Amino acid sequence: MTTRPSYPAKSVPPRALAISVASLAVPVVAALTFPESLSELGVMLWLLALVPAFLLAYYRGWRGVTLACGVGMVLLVVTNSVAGILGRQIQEGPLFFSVVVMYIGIALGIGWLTDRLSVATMRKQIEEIRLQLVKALETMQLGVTITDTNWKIIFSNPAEARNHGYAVDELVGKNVGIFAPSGKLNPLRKDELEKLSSWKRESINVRKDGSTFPVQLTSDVVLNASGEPIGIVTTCEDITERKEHQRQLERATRELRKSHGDLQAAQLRLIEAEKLESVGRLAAGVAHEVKNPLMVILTGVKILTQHVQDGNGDIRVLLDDMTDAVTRADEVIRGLLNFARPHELELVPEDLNTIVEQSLSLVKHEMDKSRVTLARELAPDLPKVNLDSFKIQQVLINLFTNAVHAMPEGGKLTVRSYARPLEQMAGDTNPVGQEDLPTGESDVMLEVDDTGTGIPEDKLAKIFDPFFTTKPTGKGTGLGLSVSWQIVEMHGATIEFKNRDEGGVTVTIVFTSSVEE
Amino acid sequence: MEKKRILVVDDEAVITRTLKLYLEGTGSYEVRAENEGSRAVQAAREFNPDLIMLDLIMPDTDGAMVASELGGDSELQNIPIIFLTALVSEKEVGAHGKEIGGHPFLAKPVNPEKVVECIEQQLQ
Repeated sequence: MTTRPSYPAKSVPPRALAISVASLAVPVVAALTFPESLSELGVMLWLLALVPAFLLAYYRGWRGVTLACGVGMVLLVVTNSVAGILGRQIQEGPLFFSVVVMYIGIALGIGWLTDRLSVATMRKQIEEIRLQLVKALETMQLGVTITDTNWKIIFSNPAEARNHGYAVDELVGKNVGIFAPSGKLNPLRKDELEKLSSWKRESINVRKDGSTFPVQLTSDVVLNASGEPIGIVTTCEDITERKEHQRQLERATRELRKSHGDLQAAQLRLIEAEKLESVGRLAAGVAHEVKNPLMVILTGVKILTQHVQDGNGDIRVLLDDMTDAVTRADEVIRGLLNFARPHELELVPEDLNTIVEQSLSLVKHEMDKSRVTLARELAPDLPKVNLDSFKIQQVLINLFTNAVHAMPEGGKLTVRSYARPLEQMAGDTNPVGQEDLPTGESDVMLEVDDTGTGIPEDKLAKIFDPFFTTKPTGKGTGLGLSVSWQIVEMHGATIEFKNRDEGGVTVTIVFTSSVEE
Repeated sequence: MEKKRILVVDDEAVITRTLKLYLEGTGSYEVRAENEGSRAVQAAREFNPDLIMLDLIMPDTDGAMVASELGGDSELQNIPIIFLTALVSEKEVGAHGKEIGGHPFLAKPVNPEKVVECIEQQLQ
């Protein structure tokens, strides 16, 4: 059943009301005042009675017309009665009633006419608005879907249909879940429905051909005049571009953070290196001044040795001790001078395992003396690394010697080498990013484990400091590790000490292999 | 046995004095000390040594330059040279063994017994 829309009744403006009253009252008053000209006045009365009928019909529709007729009738009867009481009568008998009927008829006619006109105008207005809305929905790029409360599509604009690869009429009547990867959408509970206001979420929608694209969805509940949910309107925005920008931004941020981290690390290393270098410069300055006096002492001791009686054993021992002392002092100076080296490395692609073997052979004697067993886990086909073999040998000898000294009662030294392929950055599926990552590179790892006493946690951070040593005075100058650290850094590699759970220390050096394409 | 003549060139008198004392104490050498590097070549001409010990870093000149000057002199070029120096570049040790520019070197402070060893080696 179609209901004819009744246009909203406007309230009667006071002026119209005044005109209505006047047009009814004037002839009545005149009739009562000038009874002689009653018949003419009577006609005027009927004519003027149409005015309020018209006005009220315009403003109040059918109700207005009915009201006008009623009022007119009352006035007529009252006037007639009053006139009768005064000895006059406006009209008589059948003429009176036929005029009354005519009056009603005219009034009703006017009412009906204006009503239809207003409805027509209103309809036209509604239609215009409707067309505008439809046009707007059809033009907009944003996908709009109107569904009932069970997510069944009632309306879908062309943009929505187009984005998903359907025709508009294919969508009407279907559940909007066809867009969802799962194929269905859970119906909302009544309380959820009532509260549905700007429900925003990101999702991945599926097209007719099965392809997917990321979307931003916003849903609102549509309420009728009584506040009951009658449907849901959802906008669907294709955010492929936005997601791409997001990804790029994230990657840029990641890279920025990483370079920031790298920069900070580099700064720290630079500060460390500068510290060491100033030690070196200082050492270089004093070395000459110290070495000459040492030379004098050493030569002097030897001369004294020549003149000492053979029988005096204590003096001979003293002279030997003095010689040793000079040698020790010299070693310190040598160690310090290592910091003064200009940063020249002769980097050549080398097999790390070869250098490991060379270094091991040089510490073999020490190992045997301390009854340290050796375990080798050296990976074959290790990628070559750009190394200064002499300097790396120095580092390895230092590490091996430290390990052996940490196991004076014996133990096990394990040397391990292997390649570790570089991991791709996670989530980087965009081909644009590939040019940043050279392919085929791997890290070459070297691990040296011992079963010694380990390094106390509070000392771990300081082990690379020059002159830091855990050995008793007289044993070791504490320069070895700081020099080793510097050499490792100069190779662009990293060195790290950790205590092992099973006791002892593990030293890890990470080199980046050279890529020879 | 005739004593071999050694010319020791070093800017520090203490070094030359001590070395001279030791070397002459062995009874095998006659030592002349020269403390001004710029006078080294002249001293060589006057003393006519069998071997010259040269310090590398000196305030007025550089041992390597003295060595090349000596090499350029027809009379002096065949005299063996040993460098005795406080500053040593490890790179040179690695690449050439214990030599600088073809001449052996000893790094101070060196055991004087080693000095003698090296001298004897060079005199062969």
